[in-house]
Amino acid sequence: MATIERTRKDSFDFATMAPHLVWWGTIFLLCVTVFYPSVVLVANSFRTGDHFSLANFVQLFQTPRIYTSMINSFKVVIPATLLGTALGVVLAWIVARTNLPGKRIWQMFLATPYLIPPFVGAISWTYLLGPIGLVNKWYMELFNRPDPLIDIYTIGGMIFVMAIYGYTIPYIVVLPAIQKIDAAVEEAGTISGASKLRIMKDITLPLIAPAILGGMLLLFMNLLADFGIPAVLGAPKRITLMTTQIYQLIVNFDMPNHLQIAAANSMLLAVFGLIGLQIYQKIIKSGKYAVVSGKGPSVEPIKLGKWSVPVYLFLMVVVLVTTVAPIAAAIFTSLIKAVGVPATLENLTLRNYRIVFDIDSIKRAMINSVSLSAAAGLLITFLGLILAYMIVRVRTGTVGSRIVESLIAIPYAVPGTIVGLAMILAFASPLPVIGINLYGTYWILLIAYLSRFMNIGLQTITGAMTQIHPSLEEACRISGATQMQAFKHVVFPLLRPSIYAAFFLVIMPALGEITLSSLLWSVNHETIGVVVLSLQEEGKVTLTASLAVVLMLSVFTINLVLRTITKGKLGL
Amino acid sequence: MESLVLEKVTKKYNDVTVVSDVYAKINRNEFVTIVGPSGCGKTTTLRMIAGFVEPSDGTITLDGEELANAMYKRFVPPEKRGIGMVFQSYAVWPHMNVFDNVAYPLKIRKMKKWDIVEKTREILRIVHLSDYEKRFPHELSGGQQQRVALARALVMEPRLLLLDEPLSNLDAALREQMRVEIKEIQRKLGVTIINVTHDQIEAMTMSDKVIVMDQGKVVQIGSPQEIYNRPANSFVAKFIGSANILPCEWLGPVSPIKMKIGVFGTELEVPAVKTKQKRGLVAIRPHHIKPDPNSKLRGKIVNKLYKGDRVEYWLQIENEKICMVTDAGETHDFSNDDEIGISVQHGVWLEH
Repeated sequence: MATIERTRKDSFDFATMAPHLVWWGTIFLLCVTVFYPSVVLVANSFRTGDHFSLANFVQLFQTPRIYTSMINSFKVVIPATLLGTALGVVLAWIVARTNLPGKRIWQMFLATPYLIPPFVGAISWTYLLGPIGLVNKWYMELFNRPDPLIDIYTIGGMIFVMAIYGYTIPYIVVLPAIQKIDAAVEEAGTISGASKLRIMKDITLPLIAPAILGGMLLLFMNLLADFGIPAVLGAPKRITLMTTQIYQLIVNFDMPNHLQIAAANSMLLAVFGLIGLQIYQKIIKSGKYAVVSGKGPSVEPIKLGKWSVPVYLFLMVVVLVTTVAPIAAAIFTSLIKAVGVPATLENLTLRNYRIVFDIDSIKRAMINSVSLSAAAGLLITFLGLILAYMIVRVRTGTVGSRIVESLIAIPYAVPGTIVGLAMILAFASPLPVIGINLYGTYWILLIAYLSRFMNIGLQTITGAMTQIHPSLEEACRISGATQMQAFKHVVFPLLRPSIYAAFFLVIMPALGEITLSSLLWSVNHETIGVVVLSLQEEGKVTLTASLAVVLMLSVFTINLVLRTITKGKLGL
Repeated sequence: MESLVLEKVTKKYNDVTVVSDVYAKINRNEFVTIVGPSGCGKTTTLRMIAGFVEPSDGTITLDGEELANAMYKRFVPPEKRGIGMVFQSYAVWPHMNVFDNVAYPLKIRKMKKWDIVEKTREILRIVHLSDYEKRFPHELSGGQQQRVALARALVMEPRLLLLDEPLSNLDAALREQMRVEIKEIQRKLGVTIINVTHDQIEAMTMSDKVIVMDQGKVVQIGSPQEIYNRPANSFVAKFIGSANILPCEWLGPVSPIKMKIGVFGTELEVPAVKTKQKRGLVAIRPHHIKPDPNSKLRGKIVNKLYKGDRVEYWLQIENEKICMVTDAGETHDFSNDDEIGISVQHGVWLEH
């Protein structure tokens, strides 16, 4: 305690100022990349020529193609949501409440579809149920029929694929809710004389109802916003949903005012999403969850007994349909010399994989996707760390914190198609003042990825930081450490697993990103998603399949790394 | 000798005053306890001394050195204050073992390696943790984590040790043991300690001096005996020990140190206090009320609570319910609805 600094000004240094610089820098960047594009998007939706009107919205309902796409969206998304939720809840219940053997392995398999980018899932299913898909071919050969059994390129096909990939969302939401139910709550029912079925109906279901409803709404919003599945399955028969229709409008340069109509269409889509979000937050905040989080012993698992065989069969069918069959089909297709050749050993080849790594545009797309994801991941974890520290510790509960948090949440919450369109509208012409043109460059993709995925990184790190009690840092300060030293010695080491997790949680969806990429790519600046989709449209089936397999393998590997780092807390 | 001086220390958050005008002088090697109900500002006061909260007004001086001066915006950051602190949640760093936790303040001060080892081992011996050097916090009990926190706060021989309700998370038996140990360590190392608690028993048993706070203000400073026997107001009387607070009237002086007051129509002699008021309150401790068959003051027993070593009677006298405590061993045994005579042996006049 030899020298003691007398005033605060003495300890002014760059280290303590840096977080504040980053804070204001981020606010500025958010204004440029989120606030400004949002305003431009809204303004454009009301613009016709040089005056403002509702004409664009009127035109939405007068153009049959657009009108039909809205109807289609609900025709697909509502049944898919209901099917997916039903499947997810039943599976969650089986896993949580029965004495199912091999639970851990089942849990892993049941969550796997969550990792597969939806458009890759859709492509994999075309190998089975496309007009010349494996299943249809076997059916036609076996029964000697001229027509395929099922055609995946239909509304029904979309419902099917959305449901089998979507069920993971309600499953992941409902599973912990069921697991947390206090045994005493149900035992109180038994002691009151209720049968097992009555308890289920009167106690268990009402308790997990908020979780089910919440999971269902999340799924609904996710499916409504999805671009990949309708892009893959709708293309051959020109069936469009809202997202794909907006995409069509954006790229339809012959249509006058096409971007403004697309903006109006986006506003409508955003409104549906916002309504869902409102209801979702009401359910979460209703407090009904409080009852579920008991501390008592968990409920005695139900013995399957004579039901074990049917339950096992059911789970096997689910895993076969959602995971094994499509992945196997993709792997098989990637290994054959040409589509339609008999599946004999001499027709199998690794040539497709060599070609994938030989074609320049594909190679470039892979390099782009990897570098974009890595750059986004690194920047997001770095910014996320500083922002989380500011939000949780320095500017706790201030208006500024709330503004930053919502500006970061918006691009993640609204459908990617809308984010892409807003970016086009905002950055298609050179930026005011500095005159730089971002559209058509690599940088617009990076900006889009950053604003889209920032929320994942920030949420992961803020979540972890709120777990660190402030007194741990204060103990450091009182021991003689400066704020920077306290951060370095205590906060950072404790956050390390979450920092790695944030990085991988960003690059997983970024690698297979398709929605933003398909709107913002340009020659030399393609991504894997864009290339897969265009190869698929060109009918280069075997190449698409091998690229899809590479993509799935990467995502699975990253997930494995994530699980190992976080000791199973994150990842599936 | 004075060590820590608080002058006019005030903390406001926007319009809300959390701590207001605190004056206190704390002597070297003194064990001082700040006690009060939750939300009384005691923790904020402690955090201002530590340097985690900047006072909005006033000065804090430690050994003649100004730690905080709101007027001149002078503020020494916590790491430069040379103060030790034990947190309510212990705040033992989960990613460091016991040795590294305790050695941290020395490492930060860039002490020589050998000195660090020696000093850390010495303090670990004092808190009885010598065999736990390599353990990690999750392998320790609550009491052991508490000792780690204490050792870490003491290892750099602080001028002042702050305790932020560190005993409140321990079970009753362990709390008793830690009280004794902390007192022993204080005697051994000779360190000034400021302890914050809402537990009045802890305040009474451990402290040389007690500071009672209520609603952001200091209401009384004194030795435990003074606080107990001469509470400054009805809040202190009720908060420290229990007390019956009854309306009374001033009747006149008896001697330079005694005066006469009237309660329930009977007369009572209490310590003399300068007052201009005719009506006031009297605080009477339950064990200062005794059964007295000859007394004119009578009350009806409405509730009887057996507490093992003593019996608590609740008596209805006029519109008041008062509490009387008798030793369980005493011969009389009253029942509910009995009407008994009582006499008051001691009381303290409080301003209305």
